[in-house]
Amino acid sequence: MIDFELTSADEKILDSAHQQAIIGQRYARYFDKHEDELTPAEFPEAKDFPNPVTLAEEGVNESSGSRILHSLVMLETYWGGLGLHRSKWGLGNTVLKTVATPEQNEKWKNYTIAIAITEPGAGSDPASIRTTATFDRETDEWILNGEKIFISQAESGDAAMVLSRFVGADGARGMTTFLVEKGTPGFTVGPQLKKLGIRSHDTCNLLFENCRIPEFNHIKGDFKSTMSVFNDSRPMVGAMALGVARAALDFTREKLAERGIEISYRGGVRSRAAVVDRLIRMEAQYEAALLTVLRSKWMEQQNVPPKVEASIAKAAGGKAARKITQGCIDLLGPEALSEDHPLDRSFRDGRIFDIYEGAGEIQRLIIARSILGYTSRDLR
Amino acid sequence: MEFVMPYTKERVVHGDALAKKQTIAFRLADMRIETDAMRWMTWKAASILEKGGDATKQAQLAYTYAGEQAMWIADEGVQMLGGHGYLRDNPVEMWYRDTRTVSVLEGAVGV
Repeated sequence: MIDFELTSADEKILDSAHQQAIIGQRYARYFDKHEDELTPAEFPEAKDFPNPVTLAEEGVNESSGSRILHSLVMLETYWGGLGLHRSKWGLGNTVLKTVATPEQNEKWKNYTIAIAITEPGAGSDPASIRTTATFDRETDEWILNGEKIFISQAESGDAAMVLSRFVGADGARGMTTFLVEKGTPGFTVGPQLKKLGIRSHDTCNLLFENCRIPEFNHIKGDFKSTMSVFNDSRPMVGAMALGVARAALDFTREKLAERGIEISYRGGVRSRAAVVDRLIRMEAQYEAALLTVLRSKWMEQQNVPPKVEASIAKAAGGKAARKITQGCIDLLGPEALSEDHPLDRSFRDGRIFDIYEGAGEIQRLIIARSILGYTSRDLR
Repeated sequence: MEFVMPYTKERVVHGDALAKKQTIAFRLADMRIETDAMRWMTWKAASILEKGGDATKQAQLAYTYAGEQAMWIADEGVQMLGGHGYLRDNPVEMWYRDTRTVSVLEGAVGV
């Protein structure tokens, strides 16, 4: 049976997530203006609410499933701009969980681990990374040299999972990952980057200068296993993008209503004002992208890997956030640009989702290769 | 899409298949994204109707979106076939004409 409805258990969790997002939205402007300050691990109001991500992940009876619910919780959280509970999970944790030995997992399971892939010359093309690790036979240590940029959770995290080229003791070469803990000599975290938006989002560059790492910290994720963490995160980013887009749409609808402009879905294009038509078209784009996210998450829930669908969700969400946040400003006019309202922040925050975690172009490459039956060599 | 994709893989321009050029491949990817989105929007509106619910909003959104996207896909389909897309020997020009009606089919209701 085809069913698009949420269960009452879903709605209960999402309602709680939305109440938290309303509080989060009150703090969002402060952290937008004070980008050098990290958000607290928990805001004071957090004690009144369960962490909705935990609820979604632990699987509540009668819910639509943790994959679907988690993405919708993130959508609500991004509606507000920041979560009351800071995430303790980084994509580096995903690498640890999937490829590390039980001993390594045990040691770092409670760490927040950032993932460090991007470099000045290697963003959309991570195979071009130049960070190197050389094995020192005398001390049984690896020596890491290189620079990583645009790293999330760089300051708030406890460690970084660093993708590096390596030359082993036996002369073998390739790509691999190392867990580098904060405080390791030779590992420096740069200042918070000055960004267009998502200014509350902890983002810095990392520098490794003759940074010595014990063999035990060699996590042995290869290029493929490291990049595969993005399979899960792509539709999630689509959901986050839609949270920002919906905040813009909700605000715009509310302001139009104050001016006496109601949205009717009954008539056709020739019966409605241009402003209503544009809002309906943006709502349609939102809905279109949302359903691609849910499709991808539903597949995950059924244990079917959503290879193309994950990219579709990311591409559709990223584009929707750009177009909707831009378009809402048109509909409200100069008032939209005031810092008394959330819309200028939505506009700036909403621009990131088509850039990070695989730009829209990279998602289109993945989709095109798949539908055309091309390899990455055939189509680049 | 089913008609256009094989053509772009066979048609060689400046030494490469048309489909190996990003400007074509990316538009094909967008066609795939939009056909998926249109399908789920239609299904969602239909499933509400199936249960006897009020699908006014969902139907309007699905219809408006399909009107835009189907036209865009047919338009790009003609473009990818170039002159061959303009000939009545191939069906894409017919789809281009047919999809033009989608967003005006609401008739009197639309006014």
